[in-house]
Amino acid sequence: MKFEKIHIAGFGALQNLELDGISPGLNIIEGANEAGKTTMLEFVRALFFGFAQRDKNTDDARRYEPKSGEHGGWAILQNSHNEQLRIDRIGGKSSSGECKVQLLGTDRDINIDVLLNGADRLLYEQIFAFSLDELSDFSQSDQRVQNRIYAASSGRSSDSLFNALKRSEDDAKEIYTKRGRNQSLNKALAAYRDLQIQIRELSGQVEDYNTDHDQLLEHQQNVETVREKLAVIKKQLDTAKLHVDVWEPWVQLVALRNELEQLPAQTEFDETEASAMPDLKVKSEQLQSAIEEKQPRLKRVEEELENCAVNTSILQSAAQIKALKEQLGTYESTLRALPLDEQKLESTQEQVKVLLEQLGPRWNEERAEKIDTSREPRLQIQQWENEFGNQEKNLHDAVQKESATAQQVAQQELSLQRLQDEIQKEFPAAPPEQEVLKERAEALRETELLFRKIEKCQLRGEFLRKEIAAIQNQREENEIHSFSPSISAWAIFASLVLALLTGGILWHQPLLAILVAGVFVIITIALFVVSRNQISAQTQREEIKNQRHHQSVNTITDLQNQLQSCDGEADATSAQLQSIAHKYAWNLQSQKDQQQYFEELLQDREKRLRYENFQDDAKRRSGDLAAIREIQKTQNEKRESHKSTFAEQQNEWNDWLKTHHLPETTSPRQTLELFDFLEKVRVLLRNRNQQQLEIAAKQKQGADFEYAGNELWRKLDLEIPEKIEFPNAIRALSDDLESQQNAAIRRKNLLDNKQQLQDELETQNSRLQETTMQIESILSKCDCVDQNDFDNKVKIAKERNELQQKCQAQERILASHSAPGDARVKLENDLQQLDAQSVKDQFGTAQAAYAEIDAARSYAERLQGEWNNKIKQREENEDKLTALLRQLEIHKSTIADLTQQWMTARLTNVLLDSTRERFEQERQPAVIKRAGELMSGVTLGRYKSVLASRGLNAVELDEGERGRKPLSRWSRGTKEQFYLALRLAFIEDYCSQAHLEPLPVVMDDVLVHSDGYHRLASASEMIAEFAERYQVLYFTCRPGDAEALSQAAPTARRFQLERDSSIKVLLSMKMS
Amino acid sequence: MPNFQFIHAADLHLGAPFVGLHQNNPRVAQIADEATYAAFDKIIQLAIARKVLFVLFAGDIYDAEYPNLKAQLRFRDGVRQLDKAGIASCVIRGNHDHGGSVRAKLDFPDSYFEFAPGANSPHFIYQNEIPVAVIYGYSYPQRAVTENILRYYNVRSEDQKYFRIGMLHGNVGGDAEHDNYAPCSVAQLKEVAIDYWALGHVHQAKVLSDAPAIAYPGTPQGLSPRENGTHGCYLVTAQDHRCTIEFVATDSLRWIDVEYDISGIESEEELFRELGDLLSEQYAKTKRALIVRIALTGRGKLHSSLQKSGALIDIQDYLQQQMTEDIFINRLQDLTQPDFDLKKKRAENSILGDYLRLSQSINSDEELLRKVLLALAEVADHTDVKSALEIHQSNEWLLQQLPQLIEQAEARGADLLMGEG
Repeated sequence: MKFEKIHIAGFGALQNLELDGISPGLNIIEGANEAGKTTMLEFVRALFFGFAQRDKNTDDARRYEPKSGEHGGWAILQNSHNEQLRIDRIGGKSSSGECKVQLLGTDRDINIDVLLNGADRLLYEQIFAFSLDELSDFSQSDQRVQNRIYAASSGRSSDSLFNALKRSEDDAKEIYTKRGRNQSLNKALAAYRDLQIQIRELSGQVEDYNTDHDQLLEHQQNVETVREKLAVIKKQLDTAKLHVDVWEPWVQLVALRNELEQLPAQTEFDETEASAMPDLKVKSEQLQSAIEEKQPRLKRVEEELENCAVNTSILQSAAQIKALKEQLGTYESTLRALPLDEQKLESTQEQVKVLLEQLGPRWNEERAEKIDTSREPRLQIQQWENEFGNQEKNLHDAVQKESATAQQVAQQELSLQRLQDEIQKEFPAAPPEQEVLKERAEALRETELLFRKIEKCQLRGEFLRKEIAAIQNQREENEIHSFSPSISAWAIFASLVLALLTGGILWHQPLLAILVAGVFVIITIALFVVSRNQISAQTQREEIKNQRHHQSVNTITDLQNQLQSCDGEADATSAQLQSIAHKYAWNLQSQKDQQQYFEELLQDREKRLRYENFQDDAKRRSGDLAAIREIQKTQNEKRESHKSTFAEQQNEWNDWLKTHHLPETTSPRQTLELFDFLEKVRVLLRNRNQQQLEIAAKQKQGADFEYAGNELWRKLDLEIPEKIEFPNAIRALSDDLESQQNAAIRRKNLLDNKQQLQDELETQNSRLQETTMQIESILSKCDCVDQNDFDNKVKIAKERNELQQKCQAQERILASHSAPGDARVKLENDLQQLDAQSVKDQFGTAQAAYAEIDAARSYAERLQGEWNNKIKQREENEDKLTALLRQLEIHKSTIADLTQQWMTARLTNVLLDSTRERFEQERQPAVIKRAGELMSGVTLGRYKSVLASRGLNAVELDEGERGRKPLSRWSRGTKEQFYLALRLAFIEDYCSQAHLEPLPVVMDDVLVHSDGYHRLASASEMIAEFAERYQVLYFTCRPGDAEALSQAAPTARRFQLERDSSIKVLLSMKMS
Repeated sequence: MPNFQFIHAADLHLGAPFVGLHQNNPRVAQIADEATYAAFDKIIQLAIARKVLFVLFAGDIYDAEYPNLKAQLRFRDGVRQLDKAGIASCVIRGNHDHGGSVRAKLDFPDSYFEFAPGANSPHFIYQNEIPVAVIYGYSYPQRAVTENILRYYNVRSEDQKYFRIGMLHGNVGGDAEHDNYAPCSVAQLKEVAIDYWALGHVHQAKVLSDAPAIAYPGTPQGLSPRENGTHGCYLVTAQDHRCTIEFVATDSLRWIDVEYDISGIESEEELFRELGDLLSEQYAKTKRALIVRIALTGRGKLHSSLQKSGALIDIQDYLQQQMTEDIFINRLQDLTQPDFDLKKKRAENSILGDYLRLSQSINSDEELLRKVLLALAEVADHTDVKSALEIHQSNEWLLQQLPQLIEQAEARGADLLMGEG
């Protein structure tokens, strides 16, 4: 694609800038700094790939949005198929702007991505449109350079191969490195080695197990032998120990047996009987002391009884005295309250009297009590009251409504009168009827139609006249044009003359004359044919003309007839119009008059409508008035009806009052108030009666009390006290009664005490006698003379018993050490034959022998335990070994997996690396070689070629005899030239891929660092040569560069970009 | 001749470790360590429950030349149990527990009979004190017995009236998966007047002939991923000189391989669900603990997410959490391909195309092959790797591995070049 025209509507500082007549080869755009060269470069980028993305975080200056006006512009390009395209890029909703690509000369739109065919912004910026900065940036990092080379040559704009190489290498290194420790495979292998060592240590223990097993059996045998020996010694030791243990009790037993034999025999002394004696003696002594203690107590009780006397007559009247005492309080309070009650009664009586007087002279207690004021009559009265209230309300409402209706009637009458007055005023005479107006309107419409018809006929007439005139004119014109003489006749005549002249001249040369004559004859014949054709055409034209003449005559006649009928129709219509005008007395001269009458009609119609509205209103109001009067009448009737109903109710109420013995002419409300008053009177009457009853009761209670007191005094045979002393006398009597009651209780207690003591003394005396008899019986049974004899015999018996018990204790000790029967006999026999020393010696010997054998046993058992543990340990080791073997297998699996993973990663890495190498060898050198050729040209053959056999990391310049110069030692200028050459080579490589459309190449002052005139010239030639195949827009601020480029490419177009955003076309060198 | 039943088991490999385990999961460890013993116990219980007359163990009772003690003790205890139930047991030694292997001094009951290495007299089996069967057997004197040992099975004419059994541990029919010890053919076996050939050595159960019966019961417990599927022993019912064979499963832990195609799977969630259902179904079918190896294959959207570092481990862990405690996901392998057609990419004029074409040229490009083998030898020649993976000749081994490696490297390289790795 090549630019033909670029129009920048608004892009940064550039506005309405147009670059027209762009060369398909090299274009040099010169401009001072800040003139907008870089902005133009950016515009070209934006045109293809959109404006820079909006980004809050970065400067939006990259978008080159103008301060005002439209953002963007357009360009016209030509593609490789010589088709013209227009690309518009205008700022819009999308961040990248709205893009439209149109194939000029067609309606077809093309998608920009399709147009660019896979080229993206990055590729374009890297290769096709670059500034000096970007050229420098290109040289910053060798790795990036490599990536971009690959990106450009592979048709992919990513550095995936290098990333892939790095990733695959990392993958492999993560799993295993030669001397690594932390990598997963290294770790697994280390663990595997450890496990193998552990397993080796635990393996092959079956043989050891067999040896251990033999050893264990031997130790088990030893333990058995020692245990047997120990059992024998143990028996001996036990016997010796038995002798030691029982020796002391044995010696004591023998001594006790001797003492028993020496005690005297008491065959007649019954120890069983004698055993009861101590208890009897104690019992007898206890009884005697108890009897002695009770006797003085009895005497004291009897003395107290004698001093304790009681008045029985008072005690017998105790209940009465107590009752009087209890009632005394009531009696005294009654006496105090009676005068107050009487006073209260009197006051109540007075109130009753006053209320009855308030009711009226005809009212007394009896009548007041007689009238029923219960709930039922009250409800009836309330009902009456409600009914009266309703009736009164109804009556009042009816009166109110009646008066309101009367007012309405008056208002309506007044309003109707006013309306009628208004009608009379506005319409003294009634306007014409609707039918009349309708008829007039129809007549007017008809006149309008008639006017139009007349006009139409007039216009038609006019047209017909003009038509007739035109045809007549045409006929006249046709007649003026006569036949024009034929050129053929003149031609034949001229050719004959010419032939004769020529024949005369050529008379002396007969051959030539014959030839010329022949030629003239041919010409004459030709001319004759032409003239004949002309004559035939002329004849045809004459015939047509005659035909047309006849036609026009017929047409005129026809048109004149039409005109005549048209005029007639106009006259008839006019007559019709005048007849209508006459009917309605209209002066219809023109259509304007008709319009005037039409307006009049409209006014009349409006008046009529207004009149009819008034009439309708009056009619409606009369109707309303009649309706209101009807309502008024109904209301009057209703009021009368309410009045009569009210009177009837009044009568019924009076009857009801009579029936209930109530005063007449009182209203239900008053009656209810009377009821309330009567209720009050009745309450007072009930209170009074209650008070009277209470006073009577109290008086009776006092009299009864006094009577009971008198009766008691009489019973006790005492003097009856005065009434006033009555309460005190009762109190004194009550006190006396209390003291007598206490005395009676005390006496009763003393009597009980005395009886108890007497009973106890009697019992104890009898028991004492019994005990004395038992003691005497025992003495006789034990063959004792007296108590002393008895005590002596008891002492001897006790000694014997003690000795026997001691013997038994020693025998029990012996029994506890030996079994009964033969064993016991043997033991006693053995003991009889021993002495203390021999017993001791025997035990010591046995003990020493046992200790010795026991030590041998524990040693043998320990050894047996050790071997047991050893075997157990071996069995445990087996479990450990199983687990280790399992783990070993797990590690083997892990190692297999990791090896597989490592090998996959490593193989991937090797293959990727080989791919890179092949790429460099097979494809990369073509680009490098071409770049080298270009470089060689730039450096005027100083550098022979560029060598990159080991990738771009090791690019070298071949300086011929001076050897090779690695990239690191290149000057900045050389590097930049190399990168320029590399780009140009890439573009050639890129565009050589058939399906890719070459894009315009834009360079922004990329020759700044081309040092030296010759090198600049050579670089310019490199660009110029390149521009012969690809379109180049070269921006520069250096006139020298522009000049060098112009010299290298004489056909280049030069433009001058001014600071005011205008552009001037400079003539190229060749043109100048 | 009265009819009777007996059990034919072989290759118990008691105490043998599981090969190919990937996790040190305590529960797997517990089941795996006990699995061979559990299978042996099941044989003993089966014998007692079915009241068989005797049990045959056709070699390789133990796994190593130095059989572990625990294995010997457990075997002795099992035989004692059989003896208590009145069941005899008869044993030959195979290549793993040959006559030269070391044994613990253990007391076996009288009903236990073991053929001594080399030539032997036949052993009689009695039913109610009447001989009913005669067993011919041969025990390996050393690990490798490469001769045909059928010459040791000389059936005597006086034994024709009994049910004749030949116990033989060897490779019948030349099974390439197993060492070619005591080689012979089915036809050769048929020439010997034996009614039932109780074979051992091959670890998968198979009946080579019905009359005479020639059968491998296989190992009662699969010990490696290769030994997947059902394992057990034969319960044989003998009548006259014919017999019927019934296979009884005795494995407590079963290896299964699941290959799952990810094409059409839209998300990890869907993958979990699908695999979960698949495994649950297997578990319900087998009714025993499973050691599962899952290989994800095919092309699909999930391929790129599986390439992320640690993705497979995360998926495996999550899946394991969802499973019942008796399903162990031993390994989750990613054999998926990128979601594009490698063949088409190979034809492209791009770096990826160059890469894929180059990978296919390894075998034909000597220099590249040499370069690849040299690079891979760094690990393949490692002593410990050789030991762990039992590599004898690293170059040969690498050449064997290469086709699979190339396939994986192609997929990985394509991912990396497409920026998906």
